[in-house]
Amino acid sequence: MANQQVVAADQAPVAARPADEQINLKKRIRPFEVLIQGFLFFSGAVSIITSIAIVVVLGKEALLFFSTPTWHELRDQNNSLVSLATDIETDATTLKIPAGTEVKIPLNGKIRLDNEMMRVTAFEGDTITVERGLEDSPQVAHKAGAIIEEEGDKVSVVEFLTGTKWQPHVGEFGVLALVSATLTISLIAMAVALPLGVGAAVYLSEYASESVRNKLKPILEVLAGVPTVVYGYFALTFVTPILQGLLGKETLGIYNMLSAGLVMGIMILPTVASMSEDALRAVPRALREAAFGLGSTKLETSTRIVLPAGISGIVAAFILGISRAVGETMIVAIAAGARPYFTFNPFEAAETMTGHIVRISTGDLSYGTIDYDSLFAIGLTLFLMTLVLNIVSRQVATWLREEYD
Amino acid sequence: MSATENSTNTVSQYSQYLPDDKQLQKNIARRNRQAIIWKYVFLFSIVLAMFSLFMLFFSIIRQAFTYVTIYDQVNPATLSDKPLENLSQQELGDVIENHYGAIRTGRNDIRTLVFNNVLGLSLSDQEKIADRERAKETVTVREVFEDKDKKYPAELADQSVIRLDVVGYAALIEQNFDQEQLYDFVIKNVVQPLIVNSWTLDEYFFSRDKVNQDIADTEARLREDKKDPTIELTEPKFHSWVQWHLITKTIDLSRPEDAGLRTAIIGSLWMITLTILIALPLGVGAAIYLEEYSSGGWLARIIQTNIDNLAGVPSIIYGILGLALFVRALEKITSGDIFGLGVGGNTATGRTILSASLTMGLLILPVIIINAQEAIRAVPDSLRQASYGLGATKWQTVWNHVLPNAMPGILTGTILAISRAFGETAVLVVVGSITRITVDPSGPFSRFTVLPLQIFALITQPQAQFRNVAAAGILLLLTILLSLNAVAVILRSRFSKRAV
Repeated sequence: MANQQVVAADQAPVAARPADEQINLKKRIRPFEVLIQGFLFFSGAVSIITSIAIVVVLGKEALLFFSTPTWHELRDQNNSLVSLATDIETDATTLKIPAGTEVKIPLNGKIRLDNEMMRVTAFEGDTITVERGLEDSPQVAHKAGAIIEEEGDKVSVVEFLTGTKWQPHVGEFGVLALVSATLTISLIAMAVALPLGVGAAVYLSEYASESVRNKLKPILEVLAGVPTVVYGYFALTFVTPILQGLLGKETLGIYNMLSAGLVMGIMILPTVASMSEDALRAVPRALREAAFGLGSTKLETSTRIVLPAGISGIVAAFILGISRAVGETMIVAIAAGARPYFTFNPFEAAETMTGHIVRISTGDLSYGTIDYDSLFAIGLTLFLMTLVLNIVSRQVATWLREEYD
Repeated sequence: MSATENSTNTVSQYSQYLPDDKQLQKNIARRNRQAIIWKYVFLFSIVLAMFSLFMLFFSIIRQAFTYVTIYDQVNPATLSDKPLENLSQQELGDVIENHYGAIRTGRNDIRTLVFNNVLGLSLSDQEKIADRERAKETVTVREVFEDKDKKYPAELADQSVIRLDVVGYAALIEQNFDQEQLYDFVIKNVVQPLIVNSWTLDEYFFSRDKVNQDIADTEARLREDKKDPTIELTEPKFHSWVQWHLITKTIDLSRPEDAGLRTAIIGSLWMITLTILIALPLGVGAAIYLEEYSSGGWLARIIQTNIDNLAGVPSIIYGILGLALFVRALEKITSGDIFGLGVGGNTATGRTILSASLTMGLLILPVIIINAQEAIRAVPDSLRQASYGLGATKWQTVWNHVLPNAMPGILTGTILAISRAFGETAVLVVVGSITRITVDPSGPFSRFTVLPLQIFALITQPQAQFRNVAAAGILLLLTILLSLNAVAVILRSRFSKRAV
């Protein structure tokens, strides 16, 4: 009865339709659906836009860094700063420097006082004749004692990549001073994270029962979820004092790469452990059974059969771990020291690339300064290093992967 | 019988190749021993990881609850002949009268204290009084105090409430506080105790020599600084740095015991809210596009590779991107200038909450996308087919069937992403949040600081006691993050149960 009614209700509109009007089964254009699809596509495209933006921003500003001349403080032969000896008026064209100062200033070279640029037209004894207000820089009066800066050369890419001193204020831009610390700390970190991570992975995938595994893994995840600033605090206030107690305060300062590296290793450990464990668990059970069948012990099965079979994942985890270590920031900013210094000695304090970026951006960084530009050059170096490591990690995983089917 | 003979024959036939029985047993025992030793070596790695985690928490808790010594900036003995706690109301009032004026100005000015502590006036009420006074109108003590139902001495009734002298204000305080409140007031605002040393519990109980040495050093230093050879520190006493004022007060970089993190907490909440508003729709949208709309062509493959690569970019690179793109290039928008909402004038910069949230949004986008993709992929295809079969359009299918089913997974991913954003520090240093800020952010165009960054600033302070404040801040941060993670874990377990 009820059924019939429904049928009747369904038929009614069809019956009311004029006979000549066919039901249009063609795909209709629905504006709302098109709009939605447009938004969804845009969301997907954001990731591409981000990548392009990263490359463009880093590339463009780094190019600026390599193409603008650097400024450094003018120094005499005793390497002390040269400053203005007397006040100068807004439109004066001669400057006095302290009498008896021996200093080289090239003719037609540019010098800078505060923010005003000047061209040197003559230089005799302690008097410099200049052309004021170059390149629309504000022409103002200067007080005695103002530091004179001199225009230096551009930073060449080769100098940047091979120099071992990073002292922007005397025009030294050798990124190796920062890279050395980054590499040292990353290697210490991996020396901690790799054996422990792989050991933990073997235990979790080969030895632990399902219930133990389910209890241990969340704890490892907590370790991965702790903010890096907390690890930095841990390194500075806990690990460093302990290491100082072991090695003596003369060997190890408050800031050192060893403690930063060790703590960073602990931070990366969960990543390495969880990636390696995934790789080991992906090894087919049949391989293990075969090994046991031939009389292998659990250790022999794990180290001679399962580990070689899962090596692709472990190598990938290793490389990804380095990439994480290279990009890690707060631990090194807090615990590794604030002085760019070319060294591979873990007991020394030295500043990494990321640590340097953090230090120069603390406070308001003004645009157009050499610090601002150098930020992008360092950033580009860092980006390329991690990008290469990430790509290699993925490639290695593919090359070494053994297919068991 | 014959079978046994047969097998014995076979064994004897090959026995020359096998190690003899004893040797075999020995071999096996050795291999088993090795296996057991290594089992514990592997277990040791895990235990060491757990131990580090434990030490991490221990090191923070250790710094958050310490023993401290206190230096009274004004010696209570110089204030009165009797111990302060035995003074009468009248005498305490005299102490305030005689010793307050020369001591403090600024935000601890006695008038502000009267307005805040005695009258409980809000900032806007105080502003109103100040405005009326600027307009040459006299706001009398009678008017304000009767309005709040407080007592006041008759001789002050017709005087201006903001132009009294210290004696007048002291009288007002004395009239309205009982002895206990007055005593607290005197201690806090006249004696002004300052924490000068702190030791962790283990230091305090196990290395007394160091503690005594520290006390002697500090006393010597203070005596020299203040040129007062009678200065003495109080006995060490227990002090918890985790206190309520941590979330109610703003940062004070001169007094560690009063430093609060309110500005940073509000900044964090603003930043996270905006970040979610930006990243969630974009992230889920991208995941839907990749899983439901794209047909796996080259474009989708490029996007997918891109997302995987972006997930591996160090966060500080995002900070640099944010600095160049949002803070500098889009300064007009991110400072609020274009909407007429910014701070205005020359002070307007792009270093605002909006810039930070946009940058942070890009940073957590890959995490959200990857998790949402997995959740969407796990929705059974039969649901989609059924929906299409009933004549639903693609979007209707996605909106009504795919998304609701994928929601727990998406939420889990989002919460994990949020907890990452909450703890992220490096990005915000570069994007340029400031640490010495005491004004609460009021909107997307305010300058701001966030909790982890404030902790970073505290760690880098030279005065050691700020590390204790930092430890308390870290406990707060970890509590928030662990609760977030717990919610994610619960959601995930519910989700996996339902799927089965």
